[in-house]
Amino acid sequence: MYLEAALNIATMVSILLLVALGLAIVFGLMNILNMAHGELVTIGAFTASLVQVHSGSFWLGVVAAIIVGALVGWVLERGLIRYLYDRPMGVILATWGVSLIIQQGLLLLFGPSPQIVYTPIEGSITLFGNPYPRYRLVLIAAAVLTIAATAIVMNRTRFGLDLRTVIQNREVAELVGIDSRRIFMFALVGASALAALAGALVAPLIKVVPTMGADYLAPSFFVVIVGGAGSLMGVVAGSAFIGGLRTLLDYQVPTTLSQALVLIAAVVIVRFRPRGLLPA
Amino acid sequence: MLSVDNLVASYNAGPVLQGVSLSVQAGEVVALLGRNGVGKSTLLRTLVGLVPSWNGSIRIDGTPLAPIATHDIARMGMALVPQGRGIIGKLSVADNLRAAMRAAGSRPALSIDQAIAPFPALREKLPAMAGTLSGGQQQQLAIARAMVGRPKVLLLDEPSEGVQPNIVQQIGQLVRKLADESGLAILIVEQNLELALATANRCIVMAKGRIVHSGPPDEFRNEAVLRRHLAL
Repeated sequence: MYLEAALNIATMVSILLLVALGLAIVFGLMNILNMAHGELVTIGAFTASLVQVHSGSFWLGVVAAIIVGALVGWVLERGLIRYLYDRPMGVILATWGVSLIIQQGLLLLFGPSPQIVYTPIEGSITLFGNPYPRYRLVLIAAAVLTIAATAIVMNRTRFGLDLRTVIQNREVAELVGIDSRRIFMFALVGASALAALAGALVAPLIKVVPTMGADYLAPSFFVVIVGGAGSLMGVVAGSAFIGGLRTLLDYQVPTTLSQALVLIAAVVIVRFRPRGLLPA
Repeated sequence: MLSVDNLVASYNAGPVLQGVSLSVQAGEVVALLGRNGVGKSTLLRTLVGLVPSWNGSIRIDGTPLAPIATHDIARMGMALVPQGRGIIGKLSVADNLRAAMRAAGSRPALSIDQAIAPFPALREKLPAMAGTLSGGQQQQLAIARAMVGRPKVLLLDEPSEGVQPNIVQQIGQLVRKLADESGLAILIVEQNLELALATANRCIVMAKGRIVHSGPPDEFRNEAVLRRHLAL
């Protein structure tokens, strides 16, 4: 029972971690309110589904989702967001518009019924006497790997140093020769690819429908704000708190009530720790 | 090395620079003097492209700069140590220096060891967060950081501000040494007149967005001249 709960919590936390990671970079670090972040998750899930249906390979779908997500992020940055870095309200409105266009576009193309995604790894594994779906373990591992890779890029690469410099002081970054617009573009492309990767990886566990992104946008913001905007460890802390609490409450009370209770707990935390659990 | 001709610039309403012309040779330190609000900092910020210029030209070694982005100007060899130093507080001292290696462009950058050679106090602080340094150490880091990209022109905005007196003197000696030994062209804005006169080969005075006077430092040791140009 306890072990089952622990594994369910780990799955939930992993899903939140994957979905919120891109938002932690774009919103938490770069201070850009990208309302289309959820739709990038949707696009990742749809890409994985389409590629799997046509090629038979889920993993090829995951790779394709990363590429499509990066491309959509690139178009979004070059076509829209780069003109609005100095106008935060403009970014919110414009990306909200994009999110509606993507939702309705997918609805027109694919209809409201869920897309088919087969679990790439079937069957269960017995852990301490309890059966547990293998794919969920893969998902947990993928979440750990993804956050580790992101941490390495942020802390150990030249790009990471450039980005950390631009985030802290854009003017000084330019003064020391860093092309801040280019760095922001790559960061946004990377974060979009991460969102699409998240969508592809969670696709076998959820209903892949055009409006699914909206279900992830709000929890992602909670994770980033509760965890602490501006730090990767904050994303882990936020995901653990939101995901853990929600899974535990789901055992006791109806889902809608557990969602509300988690939201109240988040509000209480932000009241006492306005900069989050693990701020930068 | 640096030549500026008829530069006109402003933030938005009304030009702050109304036709500035000046030049700084390699190995020369020029002190830019003037009362508060005459546009000295604006001039430095315009030179590195942080304030848009409407007219006039800026050249390094005869190559015109405008209209290009600030990071490209930095890579062409113009380094600004901004007022307030612009240290990135949540990066380590070493990472502050490493970040600035971009300014070298295609030239080889100074190594971290070379960059902090004039500042032995910074050596043991390399892993520390730059925000924890004292004002004087931050100023030293800001100058070391500006030198990492091997600039040709160094612009210093109030380097003595918030720095204890013994470090001010060190900074003055270093500025002189950089010009003499590395052949840097240095333009320095400084309220501390002693420091400015001790390091400069030449002083220029700015008033109402224009250069109104130019002369050797000794001329400014005269009370009457000071009163006329700087109202001191």
